[in-house]
Amino acid sequence: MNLIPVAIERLSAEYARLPGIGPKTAQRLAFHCMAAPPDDVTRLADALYALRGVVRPCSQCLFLSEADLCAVCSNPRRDPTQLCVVEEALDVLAIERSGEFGGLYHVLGGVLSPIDGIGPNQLSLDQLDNRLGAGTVVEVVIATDPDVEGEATAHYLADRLAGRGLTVTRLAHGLPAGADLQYADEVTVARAFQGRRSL
Amino acid sequence: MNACRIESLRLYEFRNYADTTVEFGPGLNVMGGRNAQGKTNLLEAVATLTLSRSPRAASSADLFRWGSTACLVEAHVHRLDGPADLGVRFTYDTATRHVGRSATVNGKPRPARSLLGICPVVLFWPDDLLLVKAGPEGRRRLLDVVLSQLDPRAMAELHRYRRALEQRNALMRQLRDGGGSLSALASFEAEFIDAGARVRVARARLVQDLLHWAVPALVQLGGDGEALGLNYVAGGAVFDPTTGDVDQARSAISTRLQARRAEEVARGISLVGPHRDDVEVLLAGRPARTAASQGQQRSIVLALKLAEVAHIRATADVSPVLILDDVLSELDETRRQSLLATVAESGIQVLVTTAEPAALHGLGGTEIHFFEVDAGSIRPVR
Ligand SMILES: Nc1ncnc2c1ncn2[C@@H]1O[C@H](COP(=O)(O)OP(=O)(O)OP(=O)(O)O)[C@@H](O)[C@H]1O
Ligand SMILES: [Mg+2]
Ligand SMILES: [Zn+2]
Repeated sequence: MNLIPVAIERLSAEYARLPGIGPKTAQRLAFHCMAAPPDDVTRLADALYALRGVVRPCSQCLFLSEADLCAVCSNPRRDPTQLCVVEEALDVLAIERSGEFGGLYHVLGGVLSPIDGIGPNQLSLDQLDNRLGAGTVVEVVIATDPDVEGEATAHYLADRLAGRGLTVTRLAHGLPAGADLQYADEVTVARAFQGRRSL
Repeated sequence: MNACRIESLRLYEFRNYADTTVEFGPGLNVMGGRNAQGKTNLLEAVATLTLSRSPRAASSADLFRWGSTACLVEAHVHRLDGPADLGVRFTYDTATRHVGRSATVNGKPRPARSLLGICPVVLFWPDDLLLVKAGPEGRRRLLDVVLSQLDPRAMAELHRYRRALEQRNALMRQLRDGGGSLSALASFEAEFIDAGARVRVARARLVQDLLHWAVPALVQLGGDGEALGLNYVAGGAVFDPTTGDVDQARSAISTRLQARRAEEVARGISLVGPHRDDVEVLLAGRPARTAASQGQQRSIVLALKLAEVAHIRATADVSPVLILDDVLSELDETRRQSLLATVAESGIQVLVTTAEPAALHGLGGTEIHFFEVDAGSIRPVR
């Protein structure tokens, strides 16, 4: 006999699918929702529901946006000659927190990882080629994580971008090996920017 | 003497232990008990905690007590610079079907790799008695376990190399089957070559250091120490770290990759790199695996283990804990005495299991703590 009502089971199962949430935490969250004031739960449900309809990838850089262009791309004060290539949207936030970079971004949507079946075709490289084709960008800063996949992706990009008259740099020093950009503090990210090297 | 030692150890739902705590003494700790009671499991728990993963289990899921989906090993470690509390926990995630691992140092969550080196260990399992004779895997593992505990950078390079190797193999299987991207292969190879070269140099240097300590250890065991030779063999040729450096190792790997690329792609595996390297053990210039007698081979293995202890003592800021599973009974009286004398003299903590603890009673000059292991419980015996 199952003691836990099906609805709570269902909700915990959904929570458990989220990154960083184990089965125990998932169950606690589900029980919490049941005990919480109805308004709180409604707000949570609304927020989740609104996410799908309202947020979409920016049509230029693939960062999160509520309009066709994201807040970075539509900001006229950003320097369009500098383009920073990152793995995912959260990395944009980490770099923005450091306040070190004033250019535009390009979100790859992942890194090369043959184990997971991710090759160049699974990344937003065609969009990147199109943007660079316009001729405005002078420097491409590759800010993939300094792990094996991030380094290999940086290497791949450097090869692909070679011979186009672009300066290609790579974030380097300061980031601990195997580190995740998202979890690095502002100082570390700022230093990594200052110490970027040519590829 | 800055000996690191485990003062107490807790096993929770680990192998055949439900929840057991044991307090060890300094010096020699002897675990006796009938077969299949959990002696080896206890030593495995120590190794799992100090190395952040079991050196014996094929999968971390094997560590869970049957029917359980989580296990925990904790230890209170004495070090001259202050005590440390270590913990490692494995949990089975039913949703993803993965075994998750989390570690704590002094009660704070830390990356699992930070467990290594706090309480360095030298492991000696019965299988290791065949270290000279058996395939290269055990010899590579010996080097990697020492490096990972002594040098966080070497550990990071090993990790990077393994990951690059996995990615490269996956890509080569795709290429073999008509998919994959050749330019992506080149990108992963850059990582593979760089990490591989650094692993090679670090291992080759360690081999030299170990030889330095193994020679006197072998003499002490009554063997012909001066006749002992150890070479790091990379890609079929001896790699000498006094003349070769990372750049040289890099270009060597890269040249051999070029030469064997077609064969690698056809087979879908990596045939070149430090995962195929070896340590050549020589006695009077001849391969010890064929030229040395069984007794000589055992002495060499023992000398290598003592060399690990000596090298860690000389390099790290603490002495290691020596873990001997069932090994003493496999050694003749002379070698056993010689091993225990060395250990006693160095003052390091030793955790040893044996089916005949009585044989160790009355061993002169050493403080000995006896324990009885019985069906997943352990208690001190007087
Ligand atoms: N995951 C597990 N859960 C429960 N029991 C286990 C698990 N893995 C192994 N065992 C049991 O633990 C028992 C003790 O194993 P261990 O190898 O520690 O024995 P031992 O005391 O070293 O014996 P020996 O003297 O024969 O070497 C074995 O009978 C084995 O079946
Ligand atoms: Mg055993
Ligand atoms: Zn945008």
